[in-house]
Order: sequence, then structure tokens, then C-alpha cells
Amino acid sequence: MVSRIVTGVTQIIFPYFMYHYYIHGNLNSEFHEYANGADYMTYVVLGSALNVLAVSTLMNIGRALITELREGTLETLLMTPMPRYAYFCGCLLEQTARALLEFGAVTAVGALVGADLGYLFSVRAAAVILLAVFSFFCMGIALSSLMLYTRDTYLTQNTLFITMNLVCGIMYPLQYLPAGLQYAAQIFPLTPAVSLFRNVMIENQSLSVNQLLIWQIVLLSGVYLLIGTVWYKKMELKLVESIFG
Amino acid sequence: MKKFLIVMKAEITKQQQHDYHSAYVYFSLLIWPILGFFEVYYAYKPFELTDYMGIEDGKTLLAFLGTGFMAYTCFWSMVQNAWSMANQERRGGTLEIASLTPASRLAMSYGRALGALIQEVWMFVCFCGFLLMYTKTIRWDNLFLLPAVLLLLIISSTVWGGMLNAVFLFSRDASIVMDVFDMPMTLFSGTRVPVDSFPCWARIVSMVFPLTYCINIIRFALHIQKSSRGWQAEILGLLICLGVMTAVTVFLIGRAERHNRETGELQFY
Repeated sequence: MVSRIVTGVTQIIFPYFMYHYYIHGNLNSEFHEYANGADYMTYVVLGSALNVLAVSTLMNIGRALITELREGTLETLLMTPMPRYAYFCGCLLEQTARALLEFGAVTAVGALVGADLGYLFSVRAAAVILLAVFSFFCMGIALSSLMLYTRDTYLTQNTLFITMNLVCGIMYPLQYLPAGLQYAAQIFPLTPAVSLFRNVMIENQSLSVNQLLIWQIVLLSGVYLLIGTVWYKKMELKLVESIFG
Repeated sequence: MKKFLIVMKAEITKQQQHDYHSAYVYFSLLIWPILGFFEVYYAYKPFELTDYMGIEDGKTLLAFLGTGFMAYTCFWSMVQNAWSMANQERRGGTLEIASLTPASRLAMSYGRALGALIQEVWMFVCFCGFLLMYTKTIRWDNLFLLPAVLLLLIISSTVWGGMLNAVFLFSRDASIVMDVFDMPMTLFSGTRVPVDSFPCWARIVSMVFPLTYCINIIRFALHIQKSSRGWQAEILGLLICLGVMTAVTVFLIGRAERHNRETGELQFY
């Protein structure tokens, strides 16, 4: 938790130093065009805050089952007749409170360094955050199957998060990246979620204007959920054999 | 002296046999730093680069970040290594055995650091080397600077790593050090943002980290950036830092051993 807050704050402090002390607020015209004239610090803080939410949701959901496996409680879990989705929903509820704390810490630091977060406490912003958390949750389920399959958490999670930092447009507009990477970035729900979050928070756009982004998030969530569920069902059969056998 | 070297060599061999060529090393010290490097490179894209502090276009930016990241990765791998080594030695029970031998503790600390350094950072250093050649920072006429730069990095990060190894002798789980060290060290040492543009207080903080002087000297030697203090001051600063770190290492090792003798049991962990 400390490390996630530190990471989130780092993602704000570095641009702050670069922007204020080094470059003295001298942005180029492309940035204004890509970001629709948004304030730089607000732009960065919003990206970083949502990224913290994504990382902690993915971590906690993705690692849930493999932690059970490592601690030896997975067999007991598999023997119970509980519905699997209920287990994951429980994990989600438990971790969302913690994740929101981290989110709050990062946005508070962001407000201190001069980000304009006036629209944070609106129904729209809350709806976007909920939608974003849901999509990270779906991705987390797919991730949990991947982690169970590879029996590895450290390499998988760090590679995923570092890639997401690079391609999802958290610290800078996506348009600066090469075209190939821009397309690749669209498979992460974080990419549309960040631009939706920014549209709502900076320009106070209504949700109906951003239908396309919302549909993309919903579609991606559906795909990840499907992959995760099917993969997990297959793996459960094998897991039973490999654990009990 | 000969004994000192023998102990160091033994530690290096141990390191190599322990975790050479594991997937972990490739990911954490090659792929992740490269991805992180490009993240920072693109983070500069929204800015209008003028010639301020020697960064005028994409190529000088690459050279600037390349030198910064090269030095930073050497220092960072030391933090990571001291952490994992301290853990493994405690769990494996070899720490007690090591403290029963008459070998020089200082040599063990430095050997541990040096062994890890060489095997962990060569890949990323190669990447940075190619980058510097691509940006024409290193050309045929100043190729001799490259080994000099590497030597400087190896010596100073070994001393730094030795100190960290001594710090980790005290604690069972000092992973918090990793979190706390990472951000300030990257920020204040000027890995990504030129230190000279910082306000006064931040520049004073930056003088604590030996990495700052290393990066400044390297950038000065490669004509990427002039130091505001002059290179003599940078070298003097680095020497003072190295001296202080060695003293701290000697002090901490003695202290940790005495502490363990008094309060510890036969098994540390």
C-alpha cells in the first residue's frame, strides 16, 4: 500500500519538477491540441490517480487465488460449494475501500501541487470511477487465471504495470506514441477509462457525449470477463487434480 | 590485501552461482528499465525543448536520459541486491556461518556488491552504450571515455552497495528502504530532470546522494551538460561521499556484529 502511494505520488512529483523548475511551463502546441487545452498538472494528476486505482484493483483481484494457493487454502476453497463470482465480488468489495484510500492520497497530493479537481465530487465522476473499477475487475479476473497458469506473480504483474504506464497515456497524451503502440494500447481498459475520466473531470462533459469510450470500456470488460471465466473453469479441473493428486 | 581480494573473489563466485541467468534478472534489469526509460522519454514530449541546460532536441534528450539511467540502474541494482541477499542469507542460515569466519567483513560486503553489479547491469549498460553511440555522444574520437565512465560507475556503486549491505545486516525486512530510497534518489540525483534547474533546497538534498556527482561527472565528460559547480567540485564531492560511505560501512558492520553477539541467538532468523 505504501509502495503504491509512493508510486502514484512519484508520477505526480516528477512531472511537477519537470514542468515547474525545468521547463517553466513551456508546453508545445501539440500538447494543447491533443489534450484540448487542459492544464498540464491536472492532466497528469488525473491520469496518475486512475492508474493507482487500476494497479491496486488488478493486484488484489489478480493475486487473490494464487495467494490462496500459496498459503494452502485453495483446496478448502475449491471444496466449498460457493459460487466463484461471489468470491471475486467479495475480494472486490474488500479491496475497493483500500484502493479508494490510495486514490484519495494521490489526488490530495495532486491538489497540493496545483491540479484543478473541482468536478471530483460529482455524480458523473463517481459513475466513471465505478465503471473504471468494474473494467479493472474484469481484467483482474483474466489476470488471476494467467497468474495461476504461470504460477508467478512478480514478473507478470510488474511487466503488465510497466507496460500500462508506458502505453496507456497516463503521463502524456497517447498521440505522442508510435501508431502501432497507440492501437495496442486500446486493449487495456485503462486507456479509454483515463480519457473518459479526463473528459468528465476537466471539461465537465456529459456521459452521453462520450458514448464511444463507454462502449469500448464495456466491450473490453466483457471480453476480459469471458476470457477469465472460461480459462478459470478449465483450470479448476486441472487444479483439483494437481493439488489433490 | 591478498586475503581481502580472495574473500572478494569468493563472494563474486558465490553470487554468480546463485542467480546468474535467471528470468528474474532479465526482466527486472533489462526489460523493465528499458520500458521505464521510454516512459520518461515520452513524458518529455509535451514540453517545448529549448537549449536550456543543454537539452535541445530529441537526440540530446536521449543522451541525457541514457547517461542518467545508466548510472541510476547501477546504483539501483545495488539496493535491490542488498535486499535480496540479506534475505537469502538469513533464511539460508549462511549469515551466521559467515560471521564465524575470520574473513574481512568489508571484503565480503564489497564482493557481494561487485559480483551482483557486474552480472546484473551489463545488459542495460550495453543498451545505454548503443544509445550514446546512436546519439553520437560517444564517437570514435572519444571512445576511450566509455571505459573510464564505466570504471567510475563500478567503483562508486560498489562502495554504495557495500554500505547498503551493511545497513541490511540490521534488519530482517527492510523492503521499506526500497520504497523510500527509490523515488528521492531518482528525483534528486538528476536522473531524469537536470539538477541545476532545481530550487536551492532541492539542490542541497541532492548533494547527499553520491549518484548526483557520478551523473554530473559523466555528463560533463561526454559534453552533455556543464555542471554549475565545475568538475573539480564534483570530483571532490564524489570523493568525500565515497569516504563517508566507507566509514559508515566499517562502523555499521562492527556495530551490527557486536549487536548480534550481545542480543542475538545462534540463529538470526
